Amino acid sequence: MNKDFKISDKEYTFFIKYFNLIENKTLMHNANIRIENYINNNSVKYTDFFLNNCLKYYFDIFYLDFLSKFFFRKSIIRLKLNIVLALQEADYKNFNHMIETSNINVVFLDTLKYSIISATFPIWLLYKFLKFKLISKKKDV
Amino acid sequence: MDTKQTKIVYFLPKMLGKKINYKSIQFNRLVGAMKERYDNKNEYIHLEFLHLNSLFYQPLINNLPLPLRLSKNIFYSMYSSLGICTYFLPDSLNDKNKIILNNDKTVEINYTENNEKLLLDKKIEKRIKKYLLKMSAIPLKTIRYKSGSAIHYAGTIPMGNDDKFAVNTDGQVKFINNLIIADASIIPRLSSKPISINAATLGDYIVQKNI
Repeated sequence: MNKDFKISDKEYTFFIKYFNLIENKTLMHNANIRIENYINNNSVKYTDFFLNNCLKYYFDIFYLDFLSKFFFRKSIIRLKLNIVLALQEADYKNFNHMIETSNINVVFLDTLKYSIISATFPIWLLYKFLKFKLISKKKDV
Repeated sequence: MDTKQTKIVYFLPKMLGKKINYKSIQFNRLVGAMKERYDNKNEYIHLEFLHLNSLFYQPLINNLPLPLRLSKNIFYSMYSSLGICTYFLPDSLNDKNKIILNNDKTVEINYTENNEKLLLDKKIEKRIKKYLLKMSAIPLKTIRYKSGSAIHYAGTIPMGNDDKFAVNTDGQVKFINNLIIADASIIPRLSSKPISINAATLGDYIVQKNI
């Protein structure tokens, strides 16, 4: 069960692309240790399994960030996002990269993206939920 | 005693979109001073205008009511125009800022602000905000720390030549022979700045007096 919640290489690539960071596998390893510790000390809910299974494509991460901010604040996906950002921020190279690459234009583009996401997230959520149910039913059979 | 800290977060619009040049001043690493009166004595108030560097921002970014990516991009695009002014308030010894050793061997940290200090704090805040506006910076938020939460503790055994003081002005403990104290614990009144230099000078002074 624990292994499921660890950040995979694919997920890490998505996070790096999403936050516009520099890849560092040591930090990914550190993040995974912290996630493992969290799972060992806290109970895992159904929504955690569901949201964790939602991250298949890059655009899914936009929805997950949006949903975990406003609806599933204590989910493991929120923890993953926070841990990745916090650890990368503590890295000197990444920190400088963040300062250099952030500008107002990016903020405007992001606002536009999130306004689309706020309008379409119920459809995405419904689709992902039905898919998750279908997969879990297939596994049961 | 402890120097009470207050921080004023400010926003400097003209720095928006510009890159930080760590070699220039840009309101970072500026030290200010102002004269105020506290406890019937003239006091120098120490101010520090610091840029937001070498801090950890993730908790701040996470607290913004926006998705994490948007919060991060907003914060870092405004990063060069944000700064903090920190000032320290002086402290003098009274009954309400002591560390008390109880009979049951527990330590009780008892820090209560007096009215004069609170008024001084508000007066300094008002003056700094006025100066910030003159420098075209907009004060955003004032963060007040409680006395006792800063890291400038001193004066647990204040020195003095009266009978009520356990240590004399040469650092010698009155009731134990050859015991000399030469650190910040004998400072009778705390000035408005970090105490490291004062403690070092005091140590040097005590050594010269006793050798």
